[in-house]
Amino acid sequence: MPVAEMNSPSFQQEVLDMLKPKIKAVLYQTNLQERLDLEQEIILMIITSIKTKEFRKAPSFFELIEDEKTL
Amino acid sequence: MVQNRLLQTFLEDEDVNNFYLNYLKHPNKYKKDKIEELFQIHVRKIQLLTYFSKILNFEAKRYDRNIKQLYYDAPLILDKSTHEGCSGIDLVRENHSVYELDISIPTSSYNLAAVCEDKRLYKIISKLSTRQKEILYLLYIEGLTEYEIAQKLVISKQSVNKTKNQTLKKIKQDYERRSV
Repeated sequence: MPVAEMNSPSFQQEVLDMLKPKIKAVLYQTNLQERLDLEQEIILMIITSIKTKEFRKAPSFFELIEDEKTL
Repeated sequence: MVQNRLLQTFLEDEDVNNFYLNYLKHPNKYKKDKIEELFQIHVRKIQLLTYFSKILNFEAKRYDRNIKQLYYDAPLILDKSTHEGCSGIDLVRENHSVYELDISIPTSSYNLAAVCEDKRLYKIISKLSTRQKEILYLLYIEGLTEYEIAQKLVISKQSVNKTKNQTLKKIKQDYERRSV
């Protein structure tokens, strides 16, 4: 697994950018005064999770392509 | 055409797609590893996005709850009521004596109707009960808050609010009926 690239700032930034609309939507349930704080908290949480979160092991690309062919 | 959604989204990217076609024409180990690596990154990205779009809502709610708890435990304001039903300002010692009489408000007649210029409104308001007139007078003429009125009249804040709402509704209904 290319661990180095998955922890790189550019990867984190990419994920953050993609999540931006979702974050903005979530902010609306909080007070006006708390929104900026909450945004920071969420972004911090996302960045730490990107580094540490473990998921189910991803399938290999060529295995999937083989599966496609057998279908 | 590939059926798998993961592969579809992966190959949607034009660069990736070209690279893959290139690999199919001239396969070699380096290209294969490179594709595999790009795919792993893609999958990781999708996994993260799915995970966060599920979790963010709860995270925000949790944060909200914590903030509320914080205000509950350590309120920074004096003039709003807190959880124990009394506001912090009540704990501050007042300057004037308990025996001092408040003579600013004529207690006998809260002459609300006299303020009205509209004849219909005058008639409706003069038919209200004393308590209703009293509360509306204190609210709108004296400009007291519901909480202050409750203290003054020795009733609960809820009953002040309820009376206010009922009275306003009644006035509105009567007024509309008369104007028809």
